[in-house]
Amino acid sequence: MSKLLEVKNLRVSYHTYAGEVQSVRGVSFDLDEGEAIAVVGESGCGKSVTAKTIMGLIKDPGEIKEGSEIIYRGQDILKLSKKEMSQYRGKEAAIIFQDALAALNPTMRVGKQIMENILQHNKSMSKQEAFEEAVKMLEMVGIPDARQRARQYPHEFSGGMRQRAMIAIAFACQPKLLIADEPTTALDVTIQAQIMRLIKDLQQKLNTSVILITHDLGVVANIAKRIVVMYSGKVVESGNSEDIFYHPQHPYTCALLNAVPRLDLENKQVLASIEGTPPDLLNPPKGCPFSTRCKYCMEICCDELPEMTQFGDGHQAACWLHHPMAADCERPKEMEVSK
Amino acid sequence: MAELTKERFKKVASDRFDKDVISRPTISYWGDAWRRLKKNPVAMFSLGLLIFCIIMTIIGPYIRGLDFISVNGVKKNLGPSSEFWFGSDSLGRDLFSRVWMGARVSIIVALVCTAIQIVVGCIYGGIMAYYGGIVDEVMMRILEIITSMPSLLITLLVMMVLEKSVGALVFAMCVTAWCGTARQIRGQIMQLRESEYVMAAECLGASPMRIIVKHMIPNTLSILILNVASSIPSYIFTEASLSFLGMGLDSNSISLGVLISNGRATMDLYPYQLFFPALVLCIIVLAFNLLGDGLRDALDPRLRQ
Amino acid sequence: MIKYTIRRFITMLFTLFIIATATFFLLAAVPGDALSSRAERLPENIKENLYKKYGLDKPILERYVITMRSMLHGDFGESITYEGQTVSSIIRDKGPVSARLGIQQMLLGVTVGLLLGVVAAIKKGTWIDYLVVTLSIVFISVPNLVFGLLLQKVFGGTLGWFPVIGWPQGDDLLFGGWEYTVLPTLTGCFAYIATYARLLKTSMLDVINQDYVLTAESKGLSRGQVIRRHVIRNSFIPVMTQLPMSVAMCITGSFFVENIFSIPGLGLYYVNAVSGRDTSIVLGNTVIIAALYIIVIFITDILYTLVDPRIRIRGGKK
Repeated sequence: MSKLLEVKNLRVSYHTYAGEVQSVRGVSFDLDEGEAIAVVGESGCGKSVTAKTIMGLIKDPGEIKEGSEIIYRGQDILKLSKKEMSQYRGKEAAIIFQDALAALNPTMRVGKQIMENILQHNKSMSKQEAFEEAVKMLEMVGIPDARQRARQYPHEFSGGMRQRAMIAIAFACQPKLLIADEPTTALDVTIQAQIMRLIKDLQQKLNTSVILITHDLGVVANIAKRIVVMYSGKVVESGNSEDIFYHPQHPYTCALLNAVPRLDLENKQVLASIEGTPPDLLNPPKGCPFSTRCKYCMEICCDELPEMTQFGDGHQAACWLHHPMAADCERPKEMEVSK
Repeated sequence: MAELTKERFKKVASDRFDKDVISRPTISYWGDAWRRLKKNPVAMFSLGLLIFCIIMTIIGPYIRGLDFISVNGVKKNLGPSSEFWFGSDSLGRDLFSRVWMGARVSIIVALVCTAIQIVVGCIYGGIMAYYGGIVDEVMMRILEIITSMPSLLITLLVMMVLEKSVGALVFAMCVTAWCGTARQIRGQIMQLRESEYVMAAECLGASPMRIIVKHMIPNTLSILILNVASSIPSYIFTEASLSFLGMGLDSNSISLGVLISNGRATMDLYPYQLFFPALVLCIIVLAFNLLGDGLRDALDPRLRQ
Repeated sequence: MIKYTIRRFITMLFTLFIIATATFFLLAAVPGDALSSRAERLPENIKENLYKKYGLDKPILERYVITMRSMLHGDFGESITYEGQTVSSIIRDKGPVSARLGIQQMLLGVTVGLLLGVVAAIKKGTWIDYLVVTLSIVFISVPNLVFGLLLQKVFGGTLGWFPVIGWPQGDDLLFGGWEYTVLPTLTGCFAYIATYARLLKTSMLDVINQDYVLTAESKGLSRGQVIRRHVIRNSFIPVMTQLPMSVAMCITGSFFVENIFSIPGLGLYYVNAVSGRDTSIVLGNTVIIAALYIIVIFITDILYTLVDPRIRIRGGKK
């Protein structure tokens, strides 16, 4: 399989009145064709900004720093012309947002919003054909009475339906890459599973690559082959799902995993939480960003950034605990299991 | 990179960091608003301009030490000079002193009207929000009827009935103005009462007094400040307009509107008699509007990032 | 939807009735009506006849009933000062003048204002934006009477490009005689430019930050397409609520503009009637102006529900 997308050393800053907020600070990962990966992290870790950057949706006051690269099929999309960009968006890559109600135009019929995408990338198509196509898309995402629904406005849809309509828009031109930015966060738990299954089905049917962005590790498990864990604008660990779930190599990943509610917990065991708050990205710490909240923090963690340590099979983590000199330091028990 | 030594790989005591400390200092709402206002050069400039104008309305009429009330038959219609900075009017009175005197009257009228508008609006809106139900419904209908007429029309009609005087002018201008304030206050209080943080405060056992002081007042205060900032210039405006139409103060009293109206009569021969009062009026209104804009930006929490 | 419209219509009639009543009693309290000054020097019996003619000899409640009844029949009263001038005839004669002035002002002002608003929002942060913002704050801060006098002085008086006062008459009443209308139209339209530019800019910036604009962009639509199809329509919704305000501005603005340029329209006539205490004319005109205004509010509400599909449902359910 060939690489569809490579994100290299992506850095994005927002200029606010208080100063420069470094939302994304050197993120790198890649994605194969037809592959699904998940980007996991808590709110404010830069995952949504990363998603928007890949879609080329960063605008004032956001700034993509020099040296960042996003290579899509051998082309750096940060250097695309306006025209190439509009070819890329919608046709090659599509995005689903968290809040479908806000992401759908309230004064435009749902069908028309899908048609817009189709017509934009199939100039020869007539409006009638595009409408039929839109109805077909709505049927595909499992909306009953699609023909009638296409003539309705978003506020006449239920929450889950709206997200389905969003997915229909995103898949309208069969993009190669789908970015799902917390697609289920605003939905009921029962609907969440349906939407995730729908995304997975479509991904397999159309061989689309998916970047699933979420803060919920529970959602990730059955869709993503690989997981990228982000913390305060940096990738702290990435690897295959099994590695991340069963052999996490970063204290933050361990803590995240412990924070997922599990049915097999002892009755009285308290659900773990991560104490403290992420660092302020206005003045990012010079050491490891997680150091202030890490139970295993060492002197060096506060002063210097850890390098990525490779564990084979693409599994890597950035933590000083993997340095040979830290061999006998205390660490989470998940990390002790040697591979 | 500094040398890596074994010492540096020692675990840090867990109490080294106060984990829940928030790394950015918190700024209170008003502190932040003030800071934003201070950062806005236009707003600060208009504030300075306004302070200057207000000082001038206090001392302006007396700077020249000239009599600006009684008629001087000799020095009629003199252009601006070192004796009469803004010239003299058709009755030989110093226009500089008269303009600032007029500005004083206009601003005082505007302030009184705004105060009445705010007080009446708050009481009316508060009652509507407090009682709700049928009281609210009836009071709302009354509001709707009053606001379904262009407000200047009502003012004009009221002025037609009353004798020309400052009191009558204030009354006529306030008759309709409080409606907007009342509506906003009602909306805000209703929204606050249903808001989750007020409910949370109630659940935590906060006394009604505390809720009013801590939540209701600060949250309605910003609306009121914006109300004041936009009302004052509009009153100055209305006063000038009414006097211009001959429906405001009578032509013997001094206000910016009266001066403009008098200046218009001699516009062709002595344009400065119209120019200076109009200029001062525009400057004052402009300063208030600019400051109001700055305040809106500073007080709008949606803009806080 | 139909139910809502009917309900609104009934409320409208009720409001109008209240306004007429309130105005009637307010005017009844006017000290020294125009008739007394006119009747002063007349012999007693003619005076009596005069009072009888206007119904002023009857008690106030009876007068109220008579006035209301004749208003229902479309008779809005006759001038006290000028015999033979009825409200209806005045509206017929002077209405078109004011209507033309108002429409010209609004068309020009709203169009230019909206265009400037769009440009300022799209070019946010550039000199064009600052220029529009500055212009609009200046336009709002300078009263239209000052503008009017200034334009009159400079372009009418000093430069002599346009007539200082007057209005096209006769055949030119509706189209033609444009040189007379230039200065009054300009005077009136500044306020519209300022309000609409500011309003549309704020509203557009609000909409541009919405998620659905991102969605539209992520479909590969060009910037122009996104703005035309998604931003403009949604940002027009709040702008629509300004329609009644604009009509109010047009009515009260005509008091000044017509005064400055001596335009024989309703505004000038109304102000003269008010200062002359010609109560019957004022009453009739007030009711007609109020009716006009209320109808505009009504139309705005209906339009609003048409533009914003979210409200259509809510209105229908009510």
